[in-house]
Amino acid sequence: MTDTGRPAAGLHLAAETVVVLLAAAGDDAAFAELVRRRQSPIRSLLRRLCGQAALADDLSQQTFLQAWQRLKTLREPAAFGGWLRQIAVNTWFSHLRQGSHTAVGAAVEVMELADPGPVDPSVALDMERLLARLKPAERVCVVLAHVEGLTHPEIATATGWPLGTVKSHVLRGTAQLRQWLQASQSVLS
Amino acid sequence: MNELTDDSVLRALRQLPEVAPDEAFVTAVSLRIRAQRRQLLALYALLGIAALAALVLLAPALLQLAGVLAAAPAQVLPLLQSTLWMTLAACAAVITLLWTRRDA
Repeated sequence: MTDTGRPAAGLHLAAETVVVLLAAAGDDAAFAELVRRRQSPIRSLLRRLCGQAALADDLSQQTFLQAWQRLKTLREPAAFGGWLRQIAVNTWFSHLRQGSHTAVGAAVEVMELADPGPVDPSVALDMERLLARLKPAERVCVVLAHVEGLTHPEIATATGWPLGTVKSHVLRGTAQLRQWLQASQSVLS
Repeated sequence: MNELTDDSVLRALRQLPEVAPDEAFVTAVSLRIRAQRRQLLALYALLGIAALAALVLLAPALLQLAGVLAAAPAQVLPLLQSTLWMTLAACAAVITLLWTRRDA
């Protein structure tokens, strides 16, 4: 990636599959273009997952770094977006594992953490903060389902969890959010 | 009045703001990739130098085993080895020079 300051001529008009193929062939400007195009959804996703802007940006950079390392293994260039999102989710899981020192499947384990307690009405309407209060496993499923618009089988693929587990996390997470929102509205009214 | 449906929760989730694209982020990723590349190159260079060093250490013994140096006078071996060491040092210097020029 030699010239990152400005987009390479023509690349910004090229179809993403073409840019992915160029990047996989070692074109640094093409990879920079991919970062340019995909940074917003990846940073937004990670910001919703970890709830901290600085940490989310650091994890996003790690995500793109891993994508750069593994790009040659991507068989279907059209699947780049989903593949990148999966790397982002795995990067977040790795971060959780490092932080909590739990074994593989930590995100499921973390689900059993203690309830965070009553909701502060002043922050209840801030959905990002409410999301951050969800247990990590529920949070990732709710975000992927309702914000990213993934189907349950797609979430199961992205997280590596069984379909039933994903469905129950989505249901429980959504119900929990609804409950917190209701509680906050009652207090405010 | 306070009865919230799933729809209202979903609507609130979908209204979360997107992070705006930022050229500084692209630059930050580029810098990390460059650093990663440098680390990989350093690793390859170290492996290369280690392989050359092993070759230098083993070369006289191998040549002796092969019978090439069997008839040579005793002072040839140290001379050969010091020549090989100098070659290795020159290789390391060239690698370092290339390295420095690459980042410039």
